[in-house]
Amino acid sequence: MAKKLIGILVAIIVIVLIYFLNKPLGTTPALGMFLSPTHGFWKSTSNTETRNQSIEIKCVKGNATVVYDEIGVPHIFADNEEDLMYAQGYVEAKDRLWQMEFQMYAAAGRLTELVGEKALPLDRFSRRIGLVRAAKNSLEEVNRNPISKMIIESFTAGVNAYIHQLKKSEIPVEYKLIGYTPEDWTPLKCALLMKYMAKDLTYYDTDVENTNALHKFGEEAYKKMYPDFPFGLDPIIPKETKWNFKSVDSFSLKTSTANKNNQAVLYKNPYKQFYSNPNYGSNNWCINGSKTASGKPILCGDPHLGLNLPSIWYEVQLSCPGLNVYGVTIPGAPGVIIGHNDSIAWSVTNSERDVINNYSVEYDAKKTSYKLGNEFVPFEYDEEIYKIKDGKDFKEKIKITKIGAVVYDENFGEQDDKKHLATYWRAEEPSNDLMAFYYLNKAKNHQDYLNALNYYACPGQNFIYADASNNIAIRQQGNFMLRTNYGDGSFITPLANVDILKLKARIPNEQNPYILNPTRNFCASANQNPVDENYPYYTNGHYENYRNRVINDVLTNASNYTWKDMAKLHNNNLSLMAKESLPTILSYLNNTGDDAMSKKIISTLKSWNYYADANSEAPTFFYKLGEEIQKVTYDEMDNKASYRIPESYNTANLLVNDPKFILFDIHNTDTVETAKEVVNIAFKNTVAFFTELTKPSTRMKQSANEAETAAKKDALVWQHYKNTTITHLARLKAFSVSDVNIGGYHNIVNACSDLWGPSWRMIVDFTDGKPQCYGVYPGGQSGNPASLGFTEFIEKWAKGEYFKLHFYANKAEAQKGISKK
Amino acid sequence: MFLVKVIIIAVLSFILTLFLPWYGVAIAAFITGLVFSNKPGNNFLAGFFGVGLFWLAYALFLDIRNQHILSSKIATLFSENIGTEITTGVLIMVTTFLGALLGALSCMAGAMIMDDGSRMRRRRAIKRGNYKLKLN
Repeated sequence: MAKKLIGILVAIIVIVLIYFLNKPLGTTPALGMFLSPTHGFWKSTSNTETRNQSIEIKCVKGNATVVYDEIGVPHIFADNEEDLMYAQGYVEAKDRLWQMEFQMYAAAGRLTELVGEKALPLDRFSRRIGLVRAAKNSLEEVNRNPISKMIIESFTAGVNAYIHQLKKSEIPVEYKLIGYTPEDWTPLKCALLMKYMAKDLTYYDTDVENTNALHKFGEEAYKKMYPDFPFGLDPIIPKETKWNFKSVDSFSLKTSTANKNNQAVLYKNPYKQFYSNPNYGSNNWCINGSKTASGKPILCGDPHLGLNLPSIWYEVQLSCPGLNVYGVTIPGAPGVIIGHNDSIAWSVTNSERDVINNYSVEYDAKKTSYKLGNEFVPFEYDEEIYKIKDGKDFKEKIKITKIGAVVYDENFGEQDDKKHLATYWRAEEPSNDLMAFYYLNKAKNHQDYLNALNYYACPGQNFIYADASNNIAIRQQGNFMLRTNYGDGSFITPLANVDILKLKARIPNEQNPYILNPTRNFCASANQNPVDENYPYYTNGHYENYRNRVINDVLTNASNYTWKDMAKLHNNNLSLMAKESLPTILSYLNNTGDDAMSKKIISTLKSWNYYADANSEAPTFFYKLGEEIQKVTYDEMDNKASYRIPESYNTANLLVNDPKFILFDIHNTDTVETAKEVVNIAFKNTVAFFTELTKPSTRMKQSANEAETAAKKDALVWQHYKNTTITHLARLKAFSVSDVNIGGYHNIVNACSDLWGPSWRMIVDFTDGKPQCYGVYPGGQSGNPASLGFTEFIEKWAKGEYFKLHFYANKAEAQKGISKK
Repeated sequence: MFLVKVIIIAVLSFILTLFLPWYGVAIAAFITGLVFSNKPGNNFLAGFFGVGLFWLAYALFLDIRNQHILSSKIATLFSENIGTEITTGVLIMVTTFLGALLGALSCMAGAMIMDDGSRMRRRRAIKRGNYKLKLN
């Protein structure tokens, strides 16, 4: 009997043990589950990539054939569009399910369900700015059109077909690590993905910072710090282009209303860290036959986005009667976003136009309504519930006005009622952007391309175009606000003064910046100003001013080019900023120290060719010095309010051409400093920084081996100092790749920075009449960390090499293609 | 007899975990213990080897098929979290030991709960030669 009791006791111990092994603890997954070979991470090795294989997928109407080539790109062949979209959903889920879902958790403000309380501020931000509200508006629009409804529903069905056949024990390892399982995909998630991209590319607004700067520094300084048109302006549409249309609104662009906001308060931007990265951007360009060896056009593109694993891009070929297209898409999106078909090729860069207005709110006494015009309008409310992992639900009511939510209020970052901000974001306007890609994928000629773009609204993009008949074009397309005065939309203004009809009005599509077959024989964009002062609308944004000039310079001189010359331009590391400003900076230096580091920095910078190559030390010194110069220059921008550091090209320009600019004066000294003193102080700081960085630490003595690694990874070499890292989406270091051997930086054509850079490099060469595509991205087709292909393309990408991609005419050719290997 | 029990536990573990959660292995060992109850120590070892070997073999099979790609990443991940470097081999060992321990305790518990002394009496009877098999 005693034995029996002991037996029961042991059984209880086992049950308790299993209970604890089956329970995740904080960020540690349920260890029993996670380690068990039948259900744990070992088992997540079952669905890795497919290669050199042809598979059949049973779709709604018939079967689709998917031929995976040697790098894991699926070439999908179906008999009709429904089945094609279904199969695309299926294969995207097969390779990228976890990523697709995780992005949607982020977009919907549901990260707290996965990682707990720490994600609450970000989730609240996402819900307040209205990603889901925007997606719902778009979905209504999508459902009104039978084609887009079909696309989104077939795609969704395909994703779900994959999810439903997936064994729970074989789901990707990230699910097991975080401790959740896939949910069903929905059409709303497809719509939400577009808004997620809109957030990534447009949710960078500086109304708060501009208002503060204008208030603190005055109009004259403001205009120098944040000019609408920078020095050396080289817009997308060549300067002096005549616009042969009348603007919609009768207005005079010359009226200055910069002083629109007279409220003498400084605003805060408490959750600025959740804004998108203003440096995200892209390059694209194309040249026509007069500049190529073959006499046919070549088109290139490289979107600069966050460098993540799994990669944001996924390559695919889609083929059915009436459609045959190759390119990249974002997992979760149907169709091809950047690519080519038999007749045309296209790529996109971000327009960088400002599509956000912030307004100060005036409440009634009870704070249940807000002033609009002369009356008080009651708020509507969004009731949001945040489910929190290992915690109690968090609930909040968000005040909604006719133009958008009150984002910053007493519940979220701003205690002072007078400084509450309501935000109008253009992405909340209904749109059916999906149709733009649907028609682009099928476009046969230039007219088809223009018609397709008319569907496209947000995030505004520069769509570059080339076709087999030697036409080239570029159009900046989006649903842009009709801004009628300088300063419109750049400052906080009272919500009470808003004219809603005018706010929602848009520049007609045919009046968007556009050029076909320019006399210079190339088109290009690199996030610079789209137009010069002659364009009859105010086009404010946050523009770039170096990459565009390097690209335009190379293309102006191009002749007899082949795709290899284009590859060189993609990987061009010239720092125009250094070329334009470094000689002046060096001339400002006096009485630099006699220490080894000072001498080393000066001699390195003096002999620099201005190329930020991976193995060079000069860019390390130059960019650190630049950072220090900005810090010293803008010492006036204290922490009491939010400010924005002017674009580095403006600082560089002021440094060279306006060294007595008032901001160079250091605030807390009695003397008056100029750019020269600023540079000298910054240089001293830089020397101190690098002296500290290279000081042999006690740690290095530990073992010869460690010292060797430390020596090898010389901290001053650009590659190691910059430390380009391709980060796993869940920020898992073990799944990320760091210290990638690649040069470049922001404001350089090869815009490879620490955490973002060229996320897909594509060259489409029409040499033989038939387009040949070369492409590479820093990742791999399979998003499964258990796949060989997870990080496969990174090395080639870093070296500036490309894959020659297969564009098959039909299923038979594709199957023959893989059987040869 | 011991070997048979080990094999039964391994096979039953495999079958049960096809539709039960990961702890189906504990249930497999427990049931085997119940049915073939004898000395606790014997059952402990049978469960230990039954589940342990099953997990070892299965983990090895999956890991070799995957060319250690995922396991080495998981090893790095764990290393970062616990602060000491662990290898894929350590992961295999920990996995095996965890399964073995669960199997051992479960099988022993099953055996002890079921053991009403009849088996021991029967065994003694067999030794003495006065045990008769019931045949119909």
